[in-house]
Amino acid sequence: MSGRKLIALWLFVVSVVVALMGFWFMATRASMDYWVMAGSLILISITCYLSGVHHYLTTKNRHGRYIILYGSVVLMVAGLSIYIPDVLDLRPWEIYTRIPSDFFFSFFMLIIGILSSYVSFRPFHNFTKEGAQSGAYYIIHLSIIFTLFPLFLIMFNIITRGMGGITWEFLTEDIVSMGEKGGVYPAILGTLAMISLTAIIVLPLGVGTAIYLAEYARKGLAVRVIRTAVNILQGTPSIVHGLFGYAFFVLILFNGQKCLLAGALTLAILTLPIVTRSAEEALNAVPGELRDASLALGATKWQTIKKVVIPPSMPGILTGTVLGIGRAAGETAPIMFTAVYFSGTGTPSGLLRPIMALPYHLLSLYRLVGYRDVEPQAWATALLLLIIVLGINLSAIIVREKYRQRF
Amino acid sequence: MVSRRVKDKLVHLTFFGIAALSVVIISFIFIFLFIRAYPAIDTFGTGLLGSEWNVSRNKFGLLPAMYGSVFVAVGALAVAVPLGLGAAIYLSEIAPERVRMILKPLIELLAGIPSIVYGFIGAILLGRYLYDTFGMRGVNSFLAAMLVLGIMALPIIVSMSDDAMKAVPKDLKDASLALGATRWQTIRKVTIPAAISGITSAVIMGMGRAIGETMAVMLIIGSVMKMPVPFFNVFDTGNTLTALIAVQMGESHGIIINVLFTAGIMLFTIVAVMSVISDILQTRTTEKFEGKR
Repeated sequence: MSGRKLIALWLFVVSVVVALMGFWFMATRASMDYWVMAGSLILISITCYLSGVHHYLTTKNRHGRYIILYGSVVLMVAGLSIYIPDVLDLRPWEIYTRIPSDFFFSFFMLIIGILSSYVSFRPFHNFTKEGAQSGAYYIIHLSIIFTLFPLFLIMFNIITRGMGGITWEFLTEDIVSMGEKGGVYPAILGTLAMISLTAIIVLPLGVGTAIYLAEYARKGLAVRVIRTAVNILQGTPSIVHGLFGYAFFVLILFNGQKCLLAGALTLAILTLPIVTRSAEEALNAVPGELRDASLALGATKWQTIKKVVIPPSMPGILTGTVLGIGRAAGETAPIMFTAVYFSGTGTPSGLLRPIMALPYHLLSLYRLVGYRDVEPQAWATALLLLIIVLGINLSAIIVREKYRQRF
Repeated sequence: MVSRRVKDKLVHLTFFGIAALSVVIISFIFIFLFIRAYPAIDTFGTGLLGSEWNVSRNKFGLLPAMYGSVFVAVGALAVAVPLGLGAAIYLSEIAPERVRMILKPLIELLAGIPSIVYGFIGAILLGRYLYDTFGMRGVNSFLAAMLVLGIMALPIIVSMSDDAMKAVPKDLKDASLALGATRWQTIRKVTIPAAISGITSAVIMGMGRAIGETMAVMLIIGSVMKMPVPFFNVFDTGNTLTALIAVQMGESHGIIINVLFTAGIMLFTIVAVMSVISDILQTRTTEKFEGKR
């Protein structure tokens, strides 16, 4: 390996270590000395100078000047940071915040570390366009890692903190003393009852809409309007669904009584566009030749749809429905005004009776954190909710991957 | 006995009826929100757009909540767009097929986590972290809401931009590579410009999601009906339209309920306009590469 590559590799390794240290200090809020940061930054900038000078000495061209410039900027950041006060008090500007110097130091280490590791690809590839590509790919890989990072963080925290709270008692008993004791049995049953009812309501409507759009619809104003309506419905915020469910189902249909049916109807409206879209996709995946063959044999359009188009698209339709149900199981806003109470409803006892549900239970417990000792229960509820919702979604995704590419 | 033709016609009509239900639902949502909102609009008129919310003085200005909604959404996009674009480029252009098969469902899983769980985690972990680090007045802040909403908007931006970039015909990319461009030059100069309307549509959808998100925001925004001071102060508490509705519905009665329905109409209108724009952009992308359907 040539000296140029060695120096670039050294720059990369040092930068990554500095970035990780910065990240670690930020995460743990460790107290930081100015010289820890300054030392690492000076090391980085010296390596940059070394790389630039070495490049000039070996090739006599001046591509290396940018990396020397970059090294100087790093040096400047390191030098100027000494003027950051121990605590930057923003209160004179009415911002009630005090940012400790530790935070700035770790933050600079993180940012400069990432930047420098990106820069190190240029000298490694002798300042050619391949260097630009490797650098860009490096940043792109970092962004996919940072995209998935929250997922792992959330999973890790919920599982480690929620595991302890899930006991037999928690799963099988009613809520006792505002959630400090007892369990969530009625809420589990409530959630299950509500999503089953939602599925029964939404399946015919969603699939019907999809069949119309995929099989019958021709270009025209009516179809455009229907499509736009489905899209708007898909984007509609869940709290608006909740308001509508309250204004229409609860106040007008059910005389002001929150109930299971009102919640399920609201959730059905929320999931309708999800089911419609995936069902339409599934129907569109069935090749036209099959339809033509059936029609040519003298079958009517409806017979063709019933016997030829729907059976092979069934897995796709069911996947879409299950995905919609997974969404419905975790929603709080649409049911909080239409169906649920925190306690006292018992297990679901009828379509026109209110219920308890897990998402709303978690919200209510969170509101009690700080007043009562319910945090372990809240974590356990979050874990349970996550298991139910992700379990539903995962099964849908597995089925979809399995039945993909049938045609 | 009905003839086959008549029966077929009936079936056709039935499906049209079911499909038209979506249109009916949309109009019902608007009509019934408006009926409940009307007393407030009638009483306060443009006072609803004011900046003062004071129940005892009978002032119900929704401006702070509107500003909060937009402010939070912009901050969330600042987090989600760069990360999401990078991830989408990775998924559509770089990742080997096997890695893609694992990562795409993982990101969809991220989208499946209920918003109340995001809110709970955000408030308990992120809120406390920011509180300890920056010595703020409480665990709630715009900053926490922006970070959480940014993470929540990520999956939709990643998956829609990924679709947009996947839709760019391979011929275009191959032509660029054949001219001697590197893969990164091709991505930057060919793929992204060609997919730009799809990517914009993804960003708009992400923004719509961030504006419409309720449970996560309501637990970490503070639900204080005021503008942040100064207006760009991410460490301050505030309110959004969604959080305002979710928190106040349970505790209020009388005319305030009508005011909340007005807030609901505003929210519905904003997000509906955004989905229509996003939809038009998306149709444009498909038409560009696949011809008009």
